[in-house]
Amino acid sequence: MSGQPPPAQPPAPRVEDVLGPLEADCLRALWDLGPSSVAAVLEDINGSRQPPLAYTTVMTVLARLHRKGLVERAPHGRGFAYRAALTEQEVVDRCTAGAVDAVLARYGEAALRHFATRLGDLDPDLLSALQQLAATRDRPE
Amino acid sequence: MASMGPLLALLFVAICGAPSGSGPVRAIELVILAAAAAWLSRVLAHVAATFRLSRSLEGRWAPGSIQGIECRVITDLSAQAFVLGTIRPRIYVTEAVIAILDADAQRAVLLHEDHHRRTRAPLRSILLESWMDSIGRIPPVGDMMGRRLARLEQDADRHALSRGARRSDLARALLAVEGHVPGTAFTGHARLRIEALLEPQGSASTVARSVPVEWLGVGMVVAATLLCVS
Repeated sequence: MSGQPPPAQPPAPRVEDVLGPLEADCLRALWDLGPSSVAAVLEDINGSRQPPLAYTTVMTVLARLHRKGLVERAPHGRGFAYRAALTEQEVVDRCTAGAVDAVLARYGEAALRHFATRLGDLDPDLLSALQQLAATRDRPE
Repeated sequence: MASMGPLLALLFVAICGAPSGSGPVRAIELVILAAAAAWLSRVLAHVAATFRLSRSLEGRWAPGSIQGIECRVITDLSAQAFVLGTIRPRIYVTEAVIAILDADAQRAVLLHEDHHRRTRAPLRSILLESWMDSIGRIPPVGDMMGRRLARLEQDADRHALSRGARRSDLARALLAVEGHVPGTAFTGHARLRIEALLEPQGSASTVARSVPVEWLGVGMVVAATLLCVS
C-alpha cells in the first residue's frame, strides 16, 4: 500500500450496531450498574426514555440476553440478579463474526461475484500447487 | 418470486403465442417463448434477491479506499470480498480481509473485484445462472454456462495480473478468503480458475476467447417480444 493514502477507517462498531435497541439499552445499563435486578435495570433505562418501558419488557429482554450467553444471572432474593457476561468489544466480536456470511447465505440468489472459491473439495495436488505458488515470490507480468 | 416463474411463463406464452400460426412452427415458437419466460422469471427473482441483500447490508458498511480503489468496508470477522449490484455494482470488503492479507494480496483482490465492477459481472452472472436454473439440466447447456461463469473469474484474475498483481498474490488471497457460503464459486469453477493461475507466466493471453452466452437470453426475450408484436 506504499505511496497510497491509508484507507478510511470505519468507525468502531458499538453494541447498538449488532443488537436490537432494547437489548443494547439493557446491556449498557448492566455495564453501568454492575450486577442488578430487573427493577434496577428498568429504572436506569426509563430515566432517559419516553415512553417508559414495562417491567415485563425488560424482564423478557434480559432473559433473551441470558439465552444468548451475553448476560449471567444468579438467584437474588425472590428474583434474579443479572450481570453482563462480556465486555462491549467481546459482544461486538461475538455478534459480528459471520454476520455477513449469514446475510449472504440468506440471499444466495443475489447478483454478486465472490472473490472466494470453495477449496474444500479441490484435488489435493492442485491445492498443494496453489499453496506452493502462494509461497513463491514471482515477478509481476 | 421463484414460485411465480412457471405461472409467468404460462402467461407469457398464452399472450404471445396466441396470434401465431399453427403446426410445427407454432410448437417451436411456444418452446422458445416458454424458455425465454422461464429465464426471465429467474432473472427477476435474482434481481429481487439482490435488492433485498443490498438493503440488508445498508448501515453495515463505511466508505473506504484500498490501493486507490473505492470500496465499502464492512465490520466482520469473516474474510469476504465481493461485488454486489446489477446496474451500479459496488465492491464490498470485510475488515478481516484487510487484517489478514498483506498489501500486495489486498491489491490483487481489489483489482480482481474492480474488474467485476467495471464489467458488471454480477449482472452477467445472474443472466447465466438464470439459464442454469431454467435449462441448465441439459448437460451441454449447463456445461457451457458453467464454463462461462468460471471464465468471468479467470478474466478478473487476468486483469489483476495485467495491472501488476502477481500470481502468488492471488494464490495467497484465494487460500485466505476461502468461500463457504452460497454465491461462492463451485469447486469445478475453482479448479479451472486455479489451473489458469498455475499456467506458466506469459501464457495467459493464449486462452481462447469465449462466447458471451449470457446475453443469449436477452436476445431471446427481444425476439419473443418482436414475435408478439408482429
